[in-house]
Amino acid sequence: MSYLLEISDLNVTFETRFRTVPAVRNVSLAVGQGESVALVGASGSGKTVLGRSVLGLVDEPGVVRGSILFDGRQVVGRTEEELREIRGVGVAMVFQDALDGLNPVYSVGSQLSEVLTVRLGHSRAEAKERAIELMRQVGIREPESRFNNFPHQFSGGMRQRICIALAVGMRPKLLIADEPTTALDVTVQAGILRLIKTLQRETGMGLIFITHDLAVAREVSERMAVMYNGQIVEEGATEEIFSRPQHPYTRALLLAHPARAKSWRDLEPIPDEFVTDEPSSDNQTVSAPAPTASIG
Amino acid sequence: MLAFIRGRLLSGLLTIFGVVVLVFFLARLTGSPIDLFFPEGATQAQLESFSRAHGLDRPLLEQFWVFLSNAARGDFGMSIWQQRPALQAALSEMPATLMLTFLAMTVSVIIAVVLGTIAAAFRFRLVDRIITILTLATGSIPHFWFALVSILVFAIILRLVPTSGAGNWQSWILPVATVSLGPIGILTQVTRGAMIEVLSSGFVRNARARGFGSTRILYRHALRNAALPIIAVAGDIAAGMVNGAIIVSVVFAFPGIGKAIIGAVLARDFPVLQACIVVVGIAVVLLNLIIDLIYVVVDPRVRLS
Ligand SMILES: Nc1ncnc2c1ncn2[C@@H]1O[C@H](COP(=O)(O)OP(=O)(O)OP(=O)(O)O)[C@@H](O)[C@H]1O
Ligand SMILES: [Mg+2]
Repeated sequence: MSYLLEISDLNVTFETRFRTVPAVRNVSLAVGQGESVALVGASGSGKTVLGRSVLGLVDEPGVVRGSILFDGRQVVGRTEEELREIRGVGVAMVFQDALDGLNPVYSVGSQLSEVLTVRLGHSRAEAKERAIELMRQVGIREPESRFNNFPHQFSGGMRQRICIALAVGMRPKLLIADEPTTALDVTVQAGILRLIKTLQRETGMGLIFITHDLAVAREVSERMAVMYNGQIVEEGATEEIFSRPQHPYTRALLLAHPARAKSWRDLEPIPDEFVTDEPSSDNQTVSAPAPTASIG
Repeated sequence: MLAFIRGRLLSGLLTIFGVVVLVFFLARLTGSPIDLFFPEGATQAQLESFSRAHGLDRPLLEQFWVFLSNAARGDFGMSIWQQRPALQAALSEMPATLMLTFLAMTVSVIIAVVLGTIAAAFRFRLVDRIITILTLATGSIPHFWFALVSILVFAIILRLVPTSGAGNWQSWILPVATVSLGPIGILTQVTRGAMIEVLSSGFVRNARARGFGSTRILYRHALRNAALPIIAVAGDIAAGMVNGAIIVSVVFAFPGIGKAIIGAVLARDFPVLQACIVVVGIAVVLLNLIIDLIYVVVDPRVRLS
């Protein structure tokens, strides 16, 4: 079987004059057509950097080594100009920090139309019609009257939904959603998850859903990869991982998750040895004592 | 919107009034035009008739009042030396000043935006370093020195352009270059800084992630956002040019309000001096108003209040 996305032996390091930060280490991951993969892991574990490298969006001083095959074609080492073919129409990404994700000086409608005319070759009239349709799909009420509004006239949640509309509007084969709901309140969050799943069903796109929320990961994904300190330490069917976590870090994550606890007294803090702000530069794989509690 | 414009014009008029008051009294501290106009042996009668004709015999405050009430009606009196109204003497110099300002600003904004954008796109690379060094240099070359050297090289040695005056289009080249030099340096650095900030923003990264070309990203997405600081600084510089361009008028004997002001100060031609100040003041107030309005067009977040 050929995969939509096949990452093998990927290493991303940030090399500054003073030190070298290995953000992604020896990562291999494959995503099939229409498949949903959740990428979970603590802050700083390299999830965003991994997502960006698929689009060729790792900038200096980042260095990418290894192989990323998208649709059978190599992404690593391509020029900015060559990457344009893949970006947006092949792989689209919704970024973590949505607040400055829209250009403040153009109306939301014109930004949606721009994508559709420039990237998909729609006529202006077609583009406007589809842009309004997209706004409706992501749950913007009265999209016709909101079309000419500027980003600052929308709430943070609405802006994030516009960013999603911009990404899925190009009908990408793969959508990378980087914690698209972290900044939003719970009610909006559920709506956006449902929206992404619906869009996925409609368009048949593959999905990499980056999150540190295990409940969310369980809801959206068939497969799950757990990242820790730049490495994927565990990967498999989502349900399998929830019922039989193999790696101590995954077990610790599951124990620390509020959804499992009846009261906060049941929560286990993540053991200190897993709490890292920065990935350490030693290259050995993670080994840590198994947490004492057993997992039901 | 209208209320905003009215407010701006009103505060502009107040500023002009303040400056005119200052100029009116300061100019009279320098002495009387009579001392310049008449030779040693002039008769008392001649002096008195001259004083009376120009109202110089009245008490200072009364002169001021007469000036104000006439000025309110657009009458700035007759020039003391030139046989024409002071206002006309001031206005006749404005076309050259406005043209020089317009040309110099156009030239410097275009050059600075192109250079600054290139520098930002290639920041910390060789191109950026070269542009930064060059523009820091042009920003700090003394105008006088540049004007004199350029006359020497281009007008006298190479004979490409005339040495002075404003007769044909060639005679505009050196004056425009002289007054553009500083603004090019400053505006390039402003553009570079603003562009670097914008280029690291989320929406530029998103534009790249959508597969837009670099020209579209630089000029449609980034530059429009970097425009506000560029416009603000360009506005200040332009206002300064309307005011001055004094070097140009001295070194190149170039017409303009700067030359008129210097002439009026040296000759103690008070009516012309006052008219010039008011005309320049109005031009600067209008210029600032135009810049505020451009803000609104460029950035939807700017609210007039
Ligand atoms: N441009 C950069 N320069 C230097 N280091 C970087 C850069 N971008 C990321 N890193 C480093 O790479 C590591 C991984 O960062 P990344 O943003 O991928 O984490 P993450 O898993 O997405 O975390 P979060 O859940 O907080 O979003 C971090 O240690 C970060 O400091
Ligand atoms: Mg992240």
